[in-house]
Amino acid sequence: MLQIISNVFTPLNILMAAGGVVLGIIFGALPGFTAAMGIAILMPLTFTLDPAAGLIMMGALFAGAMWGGAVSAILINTPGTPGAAATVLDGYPMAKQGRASEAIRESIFSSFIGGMLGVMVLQMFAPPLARVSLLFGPPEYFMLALFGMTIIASLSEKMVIKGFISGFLGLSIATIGMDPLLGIPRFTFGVPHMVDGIQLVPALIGLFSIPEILEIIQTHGEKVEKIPSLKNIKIGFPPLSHIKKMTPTYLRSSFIGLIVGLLPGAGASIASFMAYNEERRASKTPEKFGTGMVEGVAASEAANNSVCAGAFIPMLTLGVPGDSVAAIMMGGLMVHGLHPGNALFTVHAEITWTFIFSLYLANILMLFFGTFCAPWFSAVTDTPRHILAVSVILLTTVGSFALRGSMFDVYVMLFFGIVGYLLKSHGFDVVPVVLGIILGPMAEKGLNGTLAISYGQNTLGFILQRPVCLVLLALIAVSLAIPFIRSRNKDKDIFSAPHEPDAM
Amino acid sequence: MLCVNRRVALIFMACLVFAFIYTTRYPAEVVNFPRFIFSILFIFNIILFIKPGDIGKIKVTKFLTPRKVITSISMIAYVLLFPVLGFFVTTFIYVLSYIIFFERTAKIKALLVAGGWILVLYLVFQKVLYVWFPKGFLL
Repeated sequence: MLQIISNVFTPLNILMAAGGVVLGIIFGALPGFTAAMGIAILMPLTFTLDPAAGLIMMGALFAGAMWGGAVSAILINTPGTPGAAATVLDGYPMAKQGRASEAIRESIFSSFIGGMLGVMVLQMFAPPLARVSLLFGPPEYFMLALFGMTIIASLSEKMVIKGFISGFLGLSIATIGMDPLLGIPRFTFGVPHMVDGIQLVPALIGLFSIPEILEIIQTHGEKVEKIPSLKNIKIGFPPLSHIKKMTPTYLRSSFIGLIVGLLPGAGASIASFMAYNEERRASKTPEKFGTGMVEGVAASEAANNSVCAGAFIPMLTLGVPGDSVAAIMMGGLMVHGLHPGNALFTVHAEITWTFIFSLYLANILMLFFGTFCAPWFSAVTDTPRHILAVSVILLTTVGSFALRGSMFDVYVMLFFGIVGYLLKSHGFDVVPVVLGIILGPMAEKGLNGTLAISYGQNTLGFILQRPVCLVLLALIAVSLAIPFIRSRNKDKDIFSAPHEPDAM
Repeated sequence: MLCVNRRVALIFMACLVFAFIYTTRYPAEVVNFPRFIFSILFIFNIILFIKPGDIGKIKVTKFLTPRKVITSISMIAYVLLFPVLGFFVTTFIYVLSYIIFFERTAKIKALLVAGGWILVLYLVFQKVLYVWFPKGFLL
């Protein structure tokens, strides 16, 4: 334990954590720039670093971005990240009442509490869950991959069927390259670089960054709300009496965030709304929510920060990312040769525990930077968006190239950027595509292994005899039922899209 | 005129038919999983075609605006010019022209930003991280 803590507090790792938090706050605060984009861009830069340092920086960026989104949510009624969507509901009214400082102070502190509680649970439950992964054989991994696909697709914000199409499109892309059974290159079209398959990192960078850059470019010069200067915001810590009063809110919302974070594909936006709703239900004055209730801000922010740690639990233990950002980080893990499962907590225990404990440091740094350094972020939020956009273009290009020193990866990044933009503009989510690319190899190896083990038997019967498979099958059934339940609550056909504007 | 979702479903189905035909060149064991995935994807697209929902109109002129087209083409040109002009020269020209395109009066700002980025990329990537960028005939 002392060794791990001393690893966390090396100068390099502190610098990585601080840099990650600052970048995360910036990416989170700028509407259009997301945590996923930030980590996708940053990831190639971490390849030359020690694996622990790279993971620390990415985890810190995630934590910082989850709070950063609250800044624009409170000041300009636009969540900087999806996780801050519920923060808008009471945060912006507070800003309009001249209570912006109070709202931002509450958002930082509740983000800090949510983040810290989340890491504590991650620390307690990840190792036992990693041991459960030892019970997983090929049939279980196949079912787990299917579960990951179904839940992320069924929670797709747009049409559910499009979520499934995106997810299976990702699985199709994952079949490009060397076949795991006979080692025969598939779907390479004679291109030698494709024998290794489509590299995850350039595809991720393209899918997440290029569509956003194109949207940012489009709004250049239009009347887009600029974040008011943070120079005049005075923050500081909330008084102790306030913290005592808000403790039930922090605990309830953090717990909700953790549970939601555990579910693959159920990200921070769902967590923040669920926590907000529960807070309103538990309140003695629910009718005041939406008019500037500090409890609304606290609930949303505590939940969206505890999602970070919650999403890491299935990512580290079972290889199923709980969130799109965790999906990208999983790519980073795999590039460093670290594969999720029990080995992460045994063979690579030092790296894993250093990363987990660094999340405590990241949350403390987020509290520090948010409380004392908010005015400095004005330098970035005041930068014209076209300059930020060209900077992101440079970083995505360089990042893709830095992976293997290959121009082919840059071409892949561009290709997937265009594909991502076309998908998004036609109402498809790109997160299921990413998850499909990540889970594809697991699903294929699982299916091949299952067919091999059950040779001569009824494969379905063989799967149904395994208890873990039965549990996963039940979870798949639940995840497939979720869209129907949601549509009944909203009195809508699951095949219809939510209202989409004419312009895309 | 088919609605957008139906057109998208047809495009996907056409690609999947091509992909299925392409799998015939490989041994059966190698393509079991891809065929399984393609089949399910085909079924989903049939469902999308039958029940396309209503996503309103997508005007091509809105999702392919001049700015987006110019940005996309410029990004492709930027990448293709690396081996010709070299990474640093291409990057400098690209950043400079990009900023001036959006802010015609900001020539000094454009020079400073372009120069600053070249310096940062050279120091951080080449000197610290040992990432060697493509050289062209210029640099």
